[in-house]
Amino acid sequence: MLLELKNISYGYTDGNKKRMILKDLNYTFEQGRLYTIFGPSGSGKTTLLSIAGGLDKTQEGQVLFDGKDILKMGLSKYRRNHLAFVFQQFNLIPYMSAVDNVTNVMHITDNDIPKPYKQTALNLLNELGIVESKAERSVLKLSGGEQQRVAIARGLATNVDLIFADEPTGNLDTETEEEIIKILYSLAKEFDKCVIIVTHSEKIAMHSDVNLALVDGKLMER
Amino acid sequence: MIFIKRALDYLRKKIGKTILLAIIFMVIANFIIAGLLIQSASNNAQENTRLTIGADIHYVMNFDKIFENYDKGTMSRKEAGKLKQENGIVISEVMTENGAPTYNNVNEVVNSDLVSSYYYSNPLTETVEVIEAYQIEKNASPSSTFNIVLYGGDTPIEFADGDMKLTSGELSKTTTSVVISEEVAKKNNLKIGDTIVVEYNDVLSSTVDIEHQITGIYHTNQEISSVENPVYLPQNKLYIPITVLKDVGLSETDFNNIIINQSTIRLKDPSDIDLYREEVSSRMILDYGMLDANDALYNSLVGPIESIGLITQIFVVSIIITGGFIVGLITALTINDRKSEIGILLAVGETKLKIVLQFILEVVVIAFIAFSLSLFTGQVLGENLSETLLDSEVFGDVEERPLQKFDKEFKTEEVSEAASMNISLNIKIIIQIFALGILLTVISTAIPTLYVMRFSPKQILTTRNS
Repeated sequence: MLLELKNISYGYTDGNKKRMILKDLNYTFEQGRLYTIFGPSGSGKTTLLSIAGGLDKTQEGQVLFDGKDILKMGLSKYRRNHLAFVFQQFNLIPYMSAVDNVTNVMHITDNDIPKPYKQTALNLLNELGIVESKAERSVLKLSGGEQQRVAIARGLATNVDLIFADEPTGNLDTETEEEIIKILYSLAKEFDKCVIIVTHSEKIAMHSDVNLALVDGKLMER
Repeated sequence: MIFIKRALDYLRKKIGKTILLAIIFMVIANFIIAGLLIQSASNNAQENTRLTIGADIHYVMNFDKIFENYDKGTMSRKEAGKLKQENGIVISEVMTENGAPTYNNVNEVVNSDLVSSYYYSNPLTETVEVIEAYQIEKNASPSSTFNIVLYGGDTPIEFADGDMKLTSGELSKTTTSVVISEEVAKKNNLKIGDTIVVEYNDVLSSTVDIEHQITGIYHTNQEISSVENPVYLPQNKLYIPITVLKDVGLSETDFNNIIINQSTIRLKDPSDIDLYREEVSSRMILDYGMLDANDALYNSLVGPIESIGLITQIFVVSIIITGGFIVGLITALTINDRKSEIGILLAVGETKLKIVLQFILEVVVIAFIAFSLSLFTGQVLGENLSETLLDSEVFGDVEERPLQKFDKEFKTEEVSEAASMNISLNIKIIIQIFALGILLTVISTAIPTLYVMRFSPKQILTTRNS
């Protein structure tokens, strides 16, 4: 088991009332598998992803990575060395080129990355369909699909085991969506990553190993 | 050190913002530099003025205080009467007790590590038997009246300053020694080793004759073209150690209570004048005496310059506060625009410290360039500002006033030159400017950055994505 969510509870204060969106949630995620999490808007999918990905602290319960509490490990260190995010809006640093966005995280992580970083990043981008001429361009000059590939390359660049994706195809056309789904699937199957995707897309669900639904603050298999 | 690369990448890619911020920094920097330059120049002008006026301190009677006490009745008519005496030796125990410049007090005042040298003297007009005084007009009736300079301390000031020069012999400490001028020696056919007899009429009620041996002959550079009484000619000064008064018949107590007419104290460091005054005041009461360093002249010259220094100090502080506020506001707005970048960097595990350092570095680089360029433009601004301020405040009244340094007349241009503000950069100012610039940027950048740092990466991303 790579990631374990133990008794996770989280709520928002609405006036005088506290509305719990995650209630004593338990689940374990394995390496080499692709998970999808479904749920209506406001059900707490993104919150769950933020807590599991160390972007936010849980109010109750524990997140264990490889059996270790991520709070004790340090959230910053957890994010730096063990996971990567792929967001719906790509979230690339706008004043950098594609390749610089990738090498930036290589410098930040403590993991061993083959040097020279730039060549490693270019190879990675090339594998994901971004040729060198495009890799040197500002990310703002790339299409949505290309930017998402760069974001995935950034996730792979730090050699982490865990990939979180929040609506990764939400801003893409159908053709590009399929290409990105293939890439995410290959991350689980060829690169032995644990890929957890929050989505509304049934196309992604078709490729996933486990389809989960967030219902009443708990994860249930569909 | 990837944060350095990110900072430089940002500056290069966002060149418009970089230039805008650099222009704002240059405006602020110019005013800061101009202010610092004027402030530094005003300090230098004060020091130069002090040096030109002279760092000599004169231990003199405080007549204002004496008259005040006389009017109040706390000083006797007899004591006050003594001070009216124009020639001769005045002895007053009351003056010694109240800190007037008596022999005892002068020696007390000069007993300080800050003092480099001192000299004091009392003039006496006495007759010297047999010899004749020097006269400018050849047909003038002969005179045997001389100006006796009873001196003590180190080398007499006229000799130390080069107005008089020993051509032979020495200024001896022996009480019966005398130094005469070349003119008097020539007129009376005197040489070193010869003796003259001085009739001391003004010391005791009776006349006392003392034989003095000539130990030195001087040449004077002081020239007086005409004088009513030849006794006032510099050639007719006879230099005799003040201790001769004991030989004349003064008791040890009376000798200690002699009022000294002229005393000059020179400090090792002229800038220590105030320190020296404080030091003396801490160990003795100076009620009827005061240590004067040409203060009235100094203050009249330096007062306006000090005002300019103070104004520029307030000006610099205001600019730094206003500048810090403006730059802080700009960086706050810029950083607000970059919330998503901060969120992304936090999401990939970058530490908050390195993100803060990146933002600070970006501003520091811009500030460094702007401040470097402003070193030149700021100097020009400073020169123009100081000229305008000085033209309007200082020299209008200085040039109309004759400036006196006791018996020596100042050249107005000389003092005005000293009191002028020379605006020029030096290493101290450059360091000050860069230190202030860095302080300004660090404070103005750190505050908004830390404000953003309070958020968790999820909050930043949620805000941006919503």
